[in-house]
Amino acid sequence: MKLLVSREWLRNKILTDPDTEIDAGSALMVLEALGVTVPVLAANEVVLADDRVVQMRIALGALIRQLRFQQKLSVAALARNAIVAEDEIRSIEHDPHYAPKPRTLHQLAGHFHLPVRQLMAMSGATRAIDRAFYNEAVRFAARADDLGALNSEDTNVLYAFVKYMNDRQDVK
Amino acid sequence: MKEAIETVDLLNRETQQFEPAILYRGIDKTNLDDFDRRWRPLIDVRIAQMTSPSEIAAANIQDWHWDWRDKAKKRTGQLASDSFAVEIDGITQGLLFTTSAAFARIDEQKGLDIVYLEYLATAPWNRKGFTTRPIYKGVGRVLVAAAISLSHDLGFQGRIGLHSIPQSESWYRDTCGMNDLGVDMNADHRGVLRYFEMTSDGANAFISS
Repeated sequence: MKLLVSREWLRNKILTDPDTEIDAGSALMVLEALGVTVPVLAANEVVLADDRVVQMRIALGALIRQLRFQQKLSVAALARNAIVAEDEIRSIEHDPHYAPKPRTLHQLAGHFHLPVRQLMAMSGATRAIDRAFYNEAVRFAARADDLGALNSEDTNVLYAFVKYMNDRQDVK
Repeated sequence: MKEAIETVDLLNRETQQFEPAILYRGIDKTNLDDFDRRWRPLIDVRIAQMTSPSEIAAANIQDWHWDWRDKAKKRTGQLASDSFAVEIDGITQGLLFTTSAAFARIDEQKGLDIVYLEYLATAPWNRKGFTTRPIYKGVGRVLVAAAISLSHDLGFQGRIGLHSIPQSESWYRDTCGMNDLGVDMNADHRGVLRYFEMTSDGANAFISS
């Protein structure tokens, strides 16, 4: 077999290619599902017990629901825009025992411009998380209004939490 | 049998210099040992720290890394199977397993033979998601070019297919120009992975652009 591209062509392409992940295959999916690409456990991190995972998923549901309200999107519209299943969005928003699929989290992170690593942590796929992030997420969930349209205070709480997530996306 | 196909280059992200690498068709004990001794320990650390034992057991994750070695053994002598490795200084930087026992799904080429990429992986130390300072860039470009070349060699005119992990979807869709056929609901992929396929025209565009 002969490689159909030249060494020079490869060099030029590699220089201009986006610096992104390239892995494929179902075995790798299992690793991703378990959040193994998250950084090594640090001194400021905790490993979540099952009841804490439920709390984090409540926060995740509130976050997605409020961001959806804020963008005035129905579940169907969000599903269409983020290319995910409607049922999964409903489960994320309302069932804290539901374990979201990593692809869905990745798509929602892309749609809402959120750090996927933090969404993985909130979903329970990643058990080792930053203590401060856990506390902030639970606090957000406690303050999140579940009644539909956001008032100005709800919006401020939502924006503050989203900013917190984005500010911490490089924190190990 | 392992055979050197071509000398290529990977970009060292730290030095911003290219370093020569060898693309091999076929893998040998060196590559499997690299996987066990260099890749797996890094991955195992992540597994141990990120998940509870019950989760690991539930996902059957503790056995996954043996799949490579088992698959390599099972594939020996299978005419439809092929494998590729990219090495720098004798260390495995990327691996690809393919099978030609697969068929196209896109309407314009439905039912025609394709090279299906069963596993394409770069070493953990080259992955942005795995380390804050990944080393080599270019493994994916080299291995996709190898898969297209194999497809031509087999008379499949460059047609290839694969299931992408979520983080790689944009690479295959936007950079490689593969057709996105959506989430595969087949049980093997549990409705998680999207299937991508490259037509012969797409393959020509990829290698001639």
